[in-house]
Amino acid sequence: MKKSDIPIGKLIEISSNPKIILFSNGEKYFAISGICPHAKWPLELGTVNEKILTCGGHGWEFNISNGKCITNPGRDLKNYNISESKDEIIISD
Amino acid sequence: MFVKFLGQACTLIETKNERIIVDPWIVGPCNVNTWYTLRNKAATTKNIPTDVDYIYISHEHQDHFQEETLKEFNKKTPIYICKFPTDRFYNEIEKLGFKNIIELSSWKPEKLNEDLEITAIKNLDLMFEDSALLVKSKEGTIFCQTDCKMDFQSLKKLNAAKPDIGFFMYSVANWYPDAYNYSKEKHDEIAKKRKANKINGFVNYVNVIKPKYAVAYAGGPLFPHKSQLELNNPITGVFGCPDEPKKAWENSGNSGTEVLVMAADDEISIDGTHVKNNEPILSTNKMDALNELSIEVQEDLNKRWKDEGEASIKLPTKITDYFNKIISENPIARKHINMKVQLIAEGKNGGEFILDISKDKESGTYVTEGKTDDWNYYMKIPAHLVEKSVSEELLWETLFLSARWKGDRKPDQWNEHFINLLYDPDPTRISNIYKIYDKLH
Repeated sequence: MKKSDIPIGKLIEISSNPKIILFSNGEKYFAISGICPHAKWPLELGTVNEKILTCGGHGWEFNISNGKCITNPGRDLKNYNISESKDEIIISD
Repeated sequence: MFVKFLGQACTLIETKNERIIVDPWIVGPCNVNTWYTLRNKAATTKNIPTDVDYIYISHEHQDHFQEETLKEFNKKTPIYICKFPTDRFYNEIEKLGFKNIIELSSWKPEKLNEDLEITAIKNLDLMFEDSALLVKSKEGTIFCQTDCKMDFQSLKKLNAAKPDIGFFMYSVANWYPDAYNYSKEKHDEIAKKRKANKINGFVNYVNVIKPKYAVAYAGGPLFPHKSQLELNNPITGVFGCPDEPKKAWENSGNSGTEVLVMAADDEISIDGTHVKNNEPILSTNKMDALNELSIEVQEDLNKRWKDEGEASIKLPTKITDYFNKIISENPIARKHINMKVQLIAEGKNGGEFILDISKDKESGTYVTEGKTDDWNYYMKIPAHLVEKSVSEELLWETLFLSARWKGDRKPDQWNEHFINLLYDPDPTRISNIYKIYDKLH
């Protein structure tokens, strides 16, 4: 995926099956599964503050850098690997 | 067709020929004599519209299912509920003397007559039972979220149903962070964030379902007992007022829905006409309203607290037997809970108890009297309320919602497995849940 296509500070869906969302804070990229394990809300409707992703439905919080659920430990999101080249990023399982 | 809002999550939906009331909590306090609806003056039985054709109750929490209000209704009135995995809620309604209880499968419409159809919508949560309601007539469509935490797919289906009016929850209904031992600064920080998240959730629910009119309800209660007044603080408290979600909606840039603030006893017609019968309680006047209510009900509340009685001399034995039973019967829950709990039953005939719910504690007694510093969860609860819960007269959740206890956590995190065990320790229910849970996680 081209870095120039990735907005900064906005959660975007990059795959629908499996659902994966991507976030760039301008310095790093984060890719995690995009469905909240609580009530299946799409996580691109959420917000990110520092490294905390908050689901837009019921406020469950996740660490976007590793997918760990803060609100309810154990209900974690799948975390995807990201490798970077100059112009692109590659997301892998 | 119109809806009369009766406070908290109670709505009276009226067509030309029929009336259905949803989640009737109108009079008196709930949650162990603590919560009152957002009203300037406490409601009386005259405020209860008992001449209804049907009752729908979303779930068993007392701010939706309250005995003092329900006892005013004819016991032959049909009560509709959602079909849940267990019969516990059905049985609780039956205990109140109602003879005609009908369970509805989630998302399966039920025709009550030629012109009135209701659809119960169950939450997806494995552990906790709750539901929302869709009401359709030729005159229009009304959605009541109650305080059901809904899955996104259901929201999209509701959008397709094109509701004219939607009632949406905007506030937490929980004891976090109020019951826990935080510094004031930490408490206020958590409360502010929780309140903001919930209001953001309101905006997202409304934006996905997109009714023509959205009413912010199922909000925070008032705590008028003199020992709990601080819980009501509109700035530092976790419970909001309906002007806050309205403002958030207007600031969101979303469109297509008009968000309304309704006071208890106000009415809204299907075309959006809002008849104002009362002054709404807003973040700007909440403390004035609270102070007036607090004076009005204090004597009655004190009497109710006194009438709760005292713990019996048998309490230590009851605590030991109760926790030994529910822990030993549910080894799969114990493995997930994996913590030690310090329970202090405070007051006459109380005591200190250590509940060992560690995953490695395979056998022996799970309860010992005494104190430990090695706890993960700490609960200090009035002894007489502990006795009601271990005697299965009072749901632990209802007790927790009362905020009449103090807690602490090490580490400071939610343990849904512990709350789930207390919610309903029936081994069959617990076993069924973890068959699914362990596959998912």
